Amino acid sequence: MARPSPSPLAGAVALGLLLFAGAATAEETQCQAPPELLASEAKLPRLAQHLKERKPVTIVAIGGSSTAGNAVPSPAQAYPARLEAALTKRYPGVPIRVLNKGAPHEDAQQVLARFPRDVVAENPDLAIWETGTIEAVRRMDVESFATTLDEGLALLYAQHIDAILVNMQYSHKTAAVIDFDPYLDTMRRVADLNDAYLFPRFEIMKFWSDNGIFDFETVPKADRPSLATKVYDCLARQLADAIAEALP
Amino acid sequence: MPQHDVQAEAPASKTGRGRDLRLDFFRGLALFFIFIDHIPDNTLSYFTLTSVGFSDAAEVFIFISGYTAAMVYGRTMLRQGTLFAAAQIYRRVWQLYVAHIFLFMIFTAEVSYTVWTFNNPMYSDELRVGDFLAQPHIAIIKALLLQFQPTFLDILPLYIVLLATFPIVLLLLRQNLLAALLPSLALYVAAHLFGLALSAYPQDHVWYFNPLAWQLLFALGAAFGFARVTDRPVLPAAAWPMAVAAAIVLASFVVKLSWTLHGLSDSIPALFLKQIWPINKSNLAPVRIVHFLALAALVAYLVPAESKFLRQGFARPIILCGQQSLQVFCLSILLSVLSHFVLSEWSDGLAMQAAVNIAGMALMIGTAALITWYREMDRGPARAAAAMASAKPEPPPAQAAGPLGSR
Repeated sequence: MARPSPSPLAGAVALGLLLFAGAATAEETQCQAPPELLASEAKLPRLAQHLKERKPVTIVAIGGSSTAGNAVPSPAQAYPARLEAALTKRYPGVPIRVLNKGAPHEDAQQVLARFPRDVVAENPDLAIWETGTIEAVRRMDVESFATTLDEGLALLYAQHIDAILVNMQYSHKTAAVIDFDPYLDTMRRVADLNDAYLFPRFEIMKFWSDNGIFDFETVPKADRPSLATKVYDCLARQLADAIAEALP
Repeated sequence: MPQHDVQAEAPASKTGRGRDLRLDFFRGLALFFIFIDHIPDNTLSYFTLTSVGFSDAAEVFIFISGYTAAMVYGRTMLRQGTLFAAAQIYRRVWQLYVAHIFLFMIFTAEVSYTVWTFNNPMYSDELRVGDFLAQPHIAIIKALLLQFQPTFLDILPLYIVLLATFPIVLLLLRQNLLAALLPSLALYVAAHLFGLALSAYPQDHVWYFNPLAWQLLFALGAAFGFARVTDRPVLPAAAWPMAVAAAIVLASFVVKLSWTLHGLSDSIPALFLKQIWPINKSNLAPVRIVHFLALAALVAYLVPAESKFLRQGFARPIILCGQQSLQVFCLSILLSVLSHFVLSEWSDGLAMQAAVNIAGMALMIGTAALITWYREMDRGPARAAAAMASAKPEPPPAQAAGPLGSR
């Protein structure tokens, strides 16, 4: 089922962003996203507790190629490393580690199989699960995808690990051949039912693409790694904002 | 999507009833819904069946297809024997297969073009697992075997399998309705209990529409269609089933609408979401069948075959599409893919969405009208000649010319 197109709203928000752009630096405004996109009622109690008590924080980022950072020269430019930097800047004095457990070409079920070793064994405060791409590309069964997500979240919550789901990346070329809709809906719904926070990467990137903030399609080959570096950094900063928003 | 339309009612059935335009109308409507629902992010899809009920256009389509198949091939079986009916069915299966392969070629061309012009640094790695062009030599063979079913190309393979096994259903129906329905129900239950499915490509995948489950709906449609041919009553004429059906449809309406609205605004609660969702479409979850049968019973009761609106102008384009359902269905799939492409390549604003929806439906109607016109012109001289040459008062029934059939 379709979700209404955000375009008219996006236009108004873009205008609003332009109006207060003067205050922030050019680099920061470049990748702003509408605050409505990040709004959520989900909370991250364990992470909040540790940040409050200034205890060391461990976050595990688990997912596919875009978590591993295959499009950038080194893992230091992948989004988990950038998130670590953004959170460290935001919460000075708290030791924050973001572990990168991205591995390409795995579907949600395969990633879930890695949970005991890659997530639970690290005893993190927060797990960020980026998923859905392989399912959409291969058009896998939506119901079992939902079940896998449910199981994953249940596993994390049983260990008192906070959870964030991250949906797919957007580009209009891929959106033209792949039907992401059912998978986006499924992730939104699973997050909703489990009171988990869903980071709307797809919608944010669509906003950037629609508003010409980033052009994902026509970049020359030589410039691709630098574009990916910028986008991952922007996404990481948006995610840091979202995390701050979700803290009580 | 059965053809049959041409000859469906040609020989006035022995019951003396004329063609049931409700079948054409609702199948036509289902085709429009399929087109609309297949365009991702389409605002108009809020106004299709899937927003207000647990079943959607796929159920309508498969049920009516089973109904008309039983009417058309059932009559053939009773008049010209089972063997000829089976031959007619297999001629139809072949047409569907060719149509599917044709759609596959066009779809693959679109994907190839997209991948070829693809230039996205962040996605290229993940798209590589798309199996689109990674192993063309294997993908082609798997497509011919109906095991490779890219997006949108999954309903024709289902229909091919349902029709290919249809002679058995017909033979059983001839014995007794229950002789056909009980094994069908048993297969459905077994598919659910033991997780039976047809394997697909790439490895570990299964058919999106599981024929072992969906055959139940086709068989149910066939049972009603065959009962009509043989004039046997299927349901007792009582008021309470209608009350039950109305209650089911109403409850589903409220629940599903609350889900749809919840997707728009979190402040509206999604009723029973946790208990009911997710609803399995691949295996045709029982709640979908129950909802569909209730809806079908209610509509059949509220909309009699003689309804005036079926003969009014606005219904005509929809009926035309329902009568030429195979071609219009194939076209609608292509149009959905094309619309998706247009919306994501240029603009997905409401104006563009409206334009794409209207243009697509206009093309579907135009194509249906063109085919109908051609058929009538084509048939005109032959009819006249037959009438002149033959002294018999009743001409033989028109041969079973399927929509793609050569004459």
